[in-house]
Amino acid sequence: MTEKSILELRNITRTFPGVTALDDVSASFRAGEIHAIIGENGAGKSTMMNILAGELSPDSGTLHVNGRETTIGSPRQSQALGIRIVFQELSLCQNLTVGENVLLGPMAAQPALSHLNRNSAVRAATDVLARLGMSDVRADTPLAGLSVAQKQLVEIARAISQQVHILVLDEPNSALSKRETQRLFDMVRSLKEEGVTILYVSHHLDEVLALADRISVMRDGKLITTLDNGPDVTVDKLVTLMVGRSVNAAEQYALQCEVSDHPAETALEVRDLSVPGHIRHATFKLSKGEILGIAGLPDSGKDVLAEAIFGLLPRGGEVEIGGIRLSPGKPYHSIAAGMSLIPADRRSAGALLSMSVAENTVSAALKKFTRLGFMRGGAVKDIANRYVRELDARVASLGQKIATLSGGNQQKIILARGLITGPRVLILHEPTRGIDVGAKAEIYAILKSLAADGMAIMMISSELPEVMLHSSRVLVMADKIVMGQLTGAQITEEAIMSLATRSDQERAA
Amino acid sequence: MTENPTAASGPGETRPSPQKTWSDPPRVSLIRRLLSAKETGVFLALVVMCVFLSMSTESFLSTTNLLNVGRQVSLLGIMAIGMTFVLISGEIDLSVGSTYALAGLSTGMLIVLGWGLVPALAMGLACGAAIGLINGLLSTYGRLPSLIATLGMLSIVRGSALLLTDGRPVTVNVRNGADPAILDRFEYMGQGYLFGIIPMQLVFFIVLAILGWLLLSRTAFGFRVFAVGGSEKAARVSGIHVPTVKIWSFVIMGILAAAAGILSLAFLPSGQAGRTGLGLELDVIAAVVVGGASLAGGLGTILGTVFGVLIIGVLRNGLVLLGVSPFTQEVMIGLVIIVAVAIDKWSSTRRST
Amino acid sequence: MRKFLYATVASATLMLTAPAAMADPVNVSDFKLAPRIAERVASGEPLNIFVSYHDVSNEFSPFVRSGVERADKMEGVNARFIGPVGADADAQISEIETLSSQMDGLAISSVSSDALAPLINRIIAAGIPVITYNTDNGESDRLVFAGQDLIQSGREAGKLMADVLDGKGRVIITTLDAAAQWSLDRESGAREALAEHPGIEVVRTLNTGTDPQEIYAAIENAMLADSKITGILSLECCSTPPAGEWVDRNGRVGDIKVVGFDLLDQTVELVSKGVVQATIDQAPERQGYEAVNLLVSFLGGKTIDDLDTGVGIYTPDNIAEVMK
Repeated sequence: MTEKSILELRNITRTFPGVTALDDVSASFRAGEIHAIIGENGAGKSTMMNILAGELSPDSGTLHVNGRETTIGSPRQSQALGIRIVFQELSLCQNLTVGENVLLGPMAAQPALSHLNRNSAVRAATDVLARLGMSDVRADTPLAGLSVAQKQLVEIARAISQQVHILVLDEPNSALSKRETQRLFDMVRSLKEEGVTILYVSHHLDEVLALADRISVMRDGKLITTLDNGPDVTVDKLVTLMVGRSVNAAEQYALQCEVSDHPAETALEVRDLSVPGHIRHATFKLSKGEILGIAGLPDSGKDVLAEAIFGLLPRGGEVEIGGIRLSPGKPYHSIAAGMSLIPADRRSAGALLSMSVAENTVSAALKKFTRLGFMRGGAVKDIANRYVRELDARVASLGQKIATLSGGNQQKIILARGLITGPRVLILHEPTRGIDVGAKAEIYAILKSLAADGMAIMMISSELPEVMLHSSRVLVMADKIVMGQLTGAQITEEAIMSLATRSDQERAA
Repeated sequence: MTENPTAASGPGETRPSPQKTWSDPPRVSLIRRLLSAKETGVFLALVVMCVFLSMSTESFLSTTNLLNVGRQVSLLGIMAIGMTFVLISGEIDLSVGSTYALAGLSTGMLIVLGWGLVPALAMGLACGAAIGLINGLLSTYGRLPSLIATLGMLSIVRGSALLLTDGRPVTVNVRNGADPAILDRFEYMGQGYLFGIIPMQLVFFIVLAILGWLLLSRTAFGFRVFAVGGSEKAARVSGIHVPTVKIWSFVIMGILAAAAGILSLAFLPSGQAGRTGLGLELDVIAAVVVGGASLAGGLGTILGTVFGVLIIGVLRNGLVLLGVSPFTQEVMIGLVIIVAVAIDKWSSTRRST
Repeated sequence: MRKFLYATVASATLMLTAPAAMADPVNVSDFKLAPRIAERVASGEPLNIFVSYHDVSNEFSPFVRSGVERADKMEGVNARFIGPVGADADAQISEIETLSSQMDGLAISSVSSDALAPLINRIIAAGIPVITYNTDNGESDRLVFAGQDLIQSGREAGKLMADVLDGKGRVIITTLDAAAQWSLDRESGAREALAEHPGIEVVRTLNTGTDPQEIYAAIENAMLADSKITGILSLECCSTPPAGEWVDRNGRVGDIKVVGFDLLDQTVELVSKGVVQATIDQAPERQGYEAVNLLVSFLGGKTIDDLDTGVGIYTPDNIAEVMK
C-alpha cells in the first residue's frame, strides 16, 4: 500500500434548502486501500457519494484525482475517471437480463449503430459473476426473477465489470447472507490487491473493523476524524465518535428479551402454510407478549412469510388470529382482525413517499379519521402528534414529506402507521435495514415495550444479532420449510447457521 | 465458508446440496421457449382471429384480401414502429396523427408547386424530424411529461397544417400543377406494386419493420432505449446520456409519422388538414400496446408491434366482411384491445411468478 | 344508359327547388329588435353580421368563407366568419356567447341541433336576428333557413343512382359519420328514393371514418365482402373520391356506378373520366353569401323567407362547366 493519494476532497461544502449536507469536508483516499466511511443517517455520506458519482456538484471546494484538480460534472465523467458507485438502493433494469445489467455500461457505450454481440456479452458477464461466486446464475436469464440478494450482487458485478480505480460500496451487503457477504469481502480484498481503492460505507461496525485499512467518521455534515484501523479501534469507540456521546455496546444490546410474564395465550396460529415455490407446510404459533424471531438465508422462504401471512400473496393452509380464520388475498381482513405488517422495502412497499408524516401515520386507518369521506384535520393532527412523540420520531413538522426523513425516522412513522389500527399481532420484516445504530436501539426498545403490553410480535430479519438478541424464541427457515426452533440459551449464532444451511433431505435423515 | 457452490449443481444430481443458495434455472426446451416468448400471446390471438374469419367468410383467405389487409395496415404499422421506440424509452407521443397530416400535405403542396420529388420528400421528412426533435427537447430538457408536451404539439401541428393549407384540400394532380413525370413516381410510391402484386405501401412497411427490428434489438442504440426505459437511474449510472436516447426515439417517431403521411398522400392524391390522420395517434398507441409494449416503458418488441398492427387491421377487415354494423364495430374494436392486453398481462404475470 | 343520359342532362340544366319551406316569411316589424341594433340600422353604420360554421377545418369551410367574404364587400356590411375547429358543439356555443354583444345578426350552421337550439333562442330573445344556413336547426326559433334541404338532396342522389342502375342492382351507402344529423337526413332521403325501385337492394350503410386512408380501406373491405355490389352512393364530399378511386383501380369502371356529393378537385376529375357517374353540388359559396345577404335584407326592412340554394347536378356531360 502506497501513501499516494488517488482521490482528495478539499473543503467541500454542499447545502440544500435548510440543510448543510456537507460542511467544509476534506478527505484523502489512498490508492489500494479499503477506506470505510461511517456515520449515522444524515451525516453526509450519501451527499459525498453523489458528488463522486457526478449526480451533485459541490457549492465550494475542490476535487483532486491523482493530484490534479478535477470537476465531476456528470455520471459519465465520474465513470471516465474510473469511479464506480454501488448505491444501496438498487438501480437495475428489471426488463433486461442479468448479463445485460452487468455489462450495461460497456454495452451502452458502443457507437449507436454498432452491432451488439450478445453472445460475447453473456460470456463476459458470466466471468464477472463467477468472480462474485454467482456461477449458478445464468447471465441470459431475466433479472426480474432474481432475489433481492442476487440483485445486489448483480449491481456489484456491474461496478467491477469495467476498469475501476475507485469503487464505492454503500451498504453492499444489506440483503446478503453471511456466506455471500464473506465472498463479497474476499472480492473486495482481491480488488485491493489489484490496486483498487475501495470506499466502504456501512452501518455494520464489526464488518468495518474486519475489513477496513482506515476509517473515516462523519457526523452532521462534517468529517470528524480518520483513524488507522488497529487493535485499539473498537466498536464502542466508533459508536462514540458517530453519535458524539458515549454509548457502550452493552447498552445497545441490553434489551435482550427475557421470557415473557404473560401466560402463553396464542395470538396467531399458522397451520400448514404453503406458498408455491417458496414455503412448504409451515406450522407454528405466536403467543401474546412474545417476540418471535424468524431467521434464515435468502431464498429459505422467510422473505415471503410476512406477505403470505398478511394475505398479500396467494397461499395454502390456514392463518388464524384469536380464532378468526383469515382469507388469503384480503389484507384488509387481516387488518380488521388485528394484524399489522411493517414491510421490508420501505421505499416501495412501506411509505407513501410523496405524502406527509401525518398522512402516512393515519393512512392505515382512514375510516377512523374521516367524517362523510372528509379528513378530520384536527383528529389526524392529534393522533399523529401522539405517535410522533411516543416513538420519538424526529420530524420538523407533521406536514413534512416522509421522503425527506432519515431512514430511522421513516421507519418510526411506518411503525406508527402499523400501530394506529390497534393490532394484536405485529409482523415486522427487516425492521432496521439501513438504519443507524442509535435508531435501531430505539426501535428495539419500542418493540420490547409493545411486547410487554401484551402485543404478539414477529420479527423476520436477515441480521443475526437482531434476531438473536431481541427474540425470546427463534424459528429458523431453510429450504422452504421451518427447519427448527430455538429458545433461550439455545439461541446462538452457530445453532442458527447450522439449521439455516440444512436441506430438507438432511432433516429427514 | 470454503464450499464451492457450483459443485453440487450438475444436471441429474440428486445429492443434497446444503451449500446451494439458489437453484439453477431449469433447462428450457424450444417449445417452452416459444410458448414463453413475449409475442406468443398476441400471435395466438391473431391466429385465432384469422382461423375464425377464414371459416366464417369466403373472401378472408383470398390473396387479394390478405394483400389488401397488408396494405391497409402499412401506414399504421410504419408509425407503430416509431411508437415502439418511444414507448420502450418510457415516453409517449400523441402528436403523430398531426405530424402525419402536416408532413404529407406539405410534401404534396411542394410537388404541386413544382419541386422535384427528392427535395419535396426530404422536406416532408425533415418536417417530421423537427417535430420529433421538439417533442424530445420538451420532454427531456424541458422537463415536461411527454403526455403533456405532445398533447400540446398535437394541437400546434394540426393548427399549422390548417394554416398552411388554409383549410383547403390538397390534391396532387396534373391539373393543379404537378409535373406528370414527378407525379408518376410519387404515385408509384403509394399505389404501385412490387413484382406486380405486392403493394408498395406494404413493401415500405416490411422494409422499415426490418430496419426497426435491427435497430432495436441488434444495435447499441436499441439497447440504450431498453436501458433508459427499464431504469433511468441505472442508465445514467452506466454512463448513458438519457436525454439523447429519448430525443432520438422521438425523432425516429417523427420521421416515420411523416413517411406514413407522405405515403398516404401518394396513395390517395388528396388530403385535408382537418381530417387527414385525425385521431390516428390512438390507433397507433393501441396497436403497439396490443403488441405487448408497456406504457410504463422498458417492454416491447418490433415483432409484437407488427402482430398488434395486424390484429387491428384484420379486425377492421373481418368486421366488415362479416357485415357487422358500423356502431357494433366500434364496440368490438374496443373489446379486442382490452382483451388482447389483458391476456398478455395475465399470462406474463403467471410467467414471472 | 341512354335513357339515363337524357334524364340527367334534363335535370342538370335547372337548379331543382326544394319544396320543404318550413319557416314563415318574416319581417323586421314583427321582430323585437334590440335597441342598440335598431339605432345602428337607423344611423346607417355598418352592420356586424356573424356567420358561424360548424367546422371551420373541413373542406367546405373555405368555400363558405369566400361567400361570406364576398358579402363583406357589400356597402354597409361587416361580415365575419367564425366557428370551431372540428365539429365541437361546446366550442361553437362558447364562441357565440362571447361575441353576442357585438352581433347585429347571426347566421349559424349548427354542430348539433339539440345543443345549439337553446342558444339560438336566447340570442333571439336578446333581440338579435338569427337565421340558419347550410344545416338547418328546425328545433329553434330561427327566422329562416338558407341552404339545401338535406332530405331532398339525399332523395336526388337516390334518384340519380336508380337512374344509372336502370332500376336494378345492389347498392351500398357510404358516409364518414353515420350518426350525424346531416348524414341521417340524406340517408333517409336516398333510401326513400331507392325504395321506389323494387329491383334495387340497399345492402348496408358503411361508416367509413374520416381519414382518407381509413375511408379507402373501409370501401375496399366492403366491396370484397360482397362481390355483387353494383352501386356506391356516397352521402358526402369525402368518401366520393375514394369510392371512385377504388372502382378505377380495380378496373370496374362502368360495372359499378358511383354517385356522390360535392365538387372536390378529385371528384371533378373522376366525373370527367366517367368513373363517377354523377355528383351533387350544394354551392357552399352561395350559402355563405346568401346567409349574410338575408340578414342584411331583413334588417333593411325587407320580408325574408326560406331560401333554397339548390341542388346542382354534374355528370360527365356538364362537368366541363366547373373545370376552369
